[in-house]
Amino acid sequence: MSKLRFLMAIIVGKISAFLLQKIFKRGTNTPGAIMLKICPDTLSYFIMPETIICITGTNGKTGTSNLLTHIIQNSGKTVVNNSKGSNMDTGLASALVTKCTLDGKITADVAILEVDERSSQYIYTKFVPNYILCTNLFRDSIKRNGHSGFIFDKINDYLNEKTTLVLNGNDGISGLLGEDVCERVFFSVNKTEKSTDSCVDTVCDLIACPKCHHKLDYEFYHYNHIGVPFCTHCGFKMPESSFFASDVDFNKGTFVFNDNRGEKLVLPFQKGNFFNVFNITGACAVCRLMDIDIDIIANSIEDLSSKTGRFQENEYNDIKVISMLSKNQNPISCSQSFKYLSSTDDEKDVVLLITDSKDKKHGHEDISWLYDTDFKPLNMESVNTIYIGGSRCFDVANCLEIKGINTSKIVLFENYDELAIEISEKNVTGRNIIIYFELYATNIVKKIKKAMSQKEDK
Amino acid sequence: MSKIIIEILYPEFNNLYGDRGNCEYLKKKLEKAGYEIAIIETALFDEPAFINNQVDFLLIGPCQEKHQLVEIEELKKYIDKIKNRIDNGGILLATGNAFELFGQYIETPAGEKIECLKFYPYYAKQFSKLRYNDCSVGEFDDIQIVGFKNLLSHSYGENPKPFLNMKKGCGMNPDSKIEGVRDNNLFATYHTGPILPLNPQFTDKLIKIADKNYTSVSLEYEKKAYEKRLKELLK
Repeated sequence: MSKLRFLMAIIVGKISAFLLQKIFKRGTNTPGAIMLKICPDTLSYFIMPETIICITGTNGKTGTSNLLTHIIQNSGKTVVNNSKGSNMDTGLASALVTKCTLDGKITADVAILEVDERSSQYIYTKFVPNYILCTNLFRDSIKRNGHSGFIFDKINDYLNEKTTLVLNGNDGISGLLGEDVCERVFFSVNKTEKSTDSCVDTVCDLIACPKCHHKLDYEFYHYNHIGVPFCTHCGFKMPESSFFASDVDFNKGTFVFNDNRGEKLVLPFQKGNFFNVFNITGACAVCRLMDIDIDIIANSIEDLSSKTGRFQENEYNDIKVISMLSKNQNPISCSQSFKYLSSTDDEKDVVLLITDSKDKKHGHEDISWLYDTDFKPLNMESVNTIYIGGSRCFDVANCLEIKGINTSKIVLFENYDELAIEISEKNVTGRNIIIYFELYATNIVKKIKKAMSQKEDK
Repeated sequence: MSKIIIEILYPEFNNLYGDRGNCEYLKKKLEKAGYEIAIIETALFDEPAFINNQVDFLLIGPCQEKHQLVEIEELKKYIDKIKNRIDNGGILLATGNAFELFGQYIETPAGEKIECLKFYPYYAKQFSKLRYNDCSVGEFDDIQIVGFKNLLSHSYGENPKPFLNMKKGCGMNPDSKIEGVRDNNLFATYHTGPILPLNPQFTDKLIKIADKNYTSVSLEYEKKAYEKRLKELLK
């Protein structure tokens, strides 16, 4: 009976996916949502390919998944992934239904699936991934994720002993996943010229030893709690990494990837995006575990490195407009993108559209995360005006004042449209405009850019 | 009094939801009012400063449920000193699940009962897979207190000295209209995160208790942010 439901779900899923693609020209979660309504066990009925790789973690899931897909495709294998849909069970079902036969057999060689941490129980219990790569675990959106221990349990409770975990050896939180249950392989990044002896970020999610709760020591920190922790009280330390990045060169944007067989590769990474080194190292580790040729990996990363993701640069009348996506309610993502301000002395105005305009639909917007965010770079002398937009602008301004930002720099706009007009009219030649925006403020960024380009046309 | 000492208990665990903002705001506001501020951060297993020294504000925030059990054992060593502080000492502000420390016990999802400090008759129950999010308004004296809650537990039982009468949102549990404890110098609440910067009026009141000579100072946007939130929440 259930199998019959599954076959019905496939047909309905395929038809709705086809129609939605025609109408909206993009993937949505709707086909998967319908399929799960018809057959709640949809994901366990698919006849999955021989290799299933899941990617999870707080930051870097999408970048790592895209990279893995690219390398594996270059190795001649066909891939099914959920890059166009969500990373929850409905998104996975939507993706899988587009690449399966009518009886549910996946027609690709490899499934590369980005998995939301909180969806673990609806996914890892339905099929057994060969590999789960966890990029890292940090504090994240409070309402959705609670705290990192809560998310850790959400993943850890549903791991299968047949899965090999590929874990970040610099992360003392996610690095403890699957202990005594799964085979575990670690990747890490060696000390760089930017490593620090103490934590310089606003939050560190791992200050005390996860085993004995005494204060941890760190050989060094890369950023936040990512580094090399060890405990002098109980002897806790991270397991040895079989894959690691060394010789990170921030000027050239290169590093050396070292694998478990002693092979070395010089690889490029997106300059100014140190996260990228972790993503590439993790993705390469999985590829080497799958025995993908080292030259194919090298070439694939070369031709991807020029593409940028969440960072966009435009120029209007000699004014550079740089926009950077900051993940909603994620203090780590926001703090890291503010660091970009410190990388140049160019005169600039900063636009903050970082509060979550959609969150109020789920009750009132929680702004607690602002206090975990590092706003220090906004205090630089080269930052002239700080425009803050959105209905929570007073909260952002209050937090900035508490964090020591000079309030005379701050201009507030509750209304996004007025903000767009002000910026396009008041901009000063020779001053860059840096826009930090959350996902749902994408439209307002487009508006600002449009207003500026119209002004240029005049 | 021109110097104010703030102690944060176990910040390596008790800073999950922007809770650090409370101390930062106190510091900013008090400095603006002309005070000299010292901040002491006490790690688990170290002796807290308030045991033998003058501390004006003692702050303890929410922590992960598994860490809470470790902290309780540690705090039991100082049970008399904590009681004494509540009756005769400086302010003690406990936020999030730190409110539960002062009750009878915490029941874990496995059914184990962890004995707490037992100052008040209520008890807490943790739930494992669900998180409880809430935006609430509660009344203390004539002040409306706004804020957020992110919890993996609720409390039940008698609570003779509640801190807040809820106008909106959940109290000790979804069926309760009261929340927290106000007993002399103790202010305990389920609110998580930056409750002080969200509530400038309440913060002024706390400072006034710590130093009756304090004349209120304001940051530029604190009032607007507060009033806007209150209005939206009561709508």
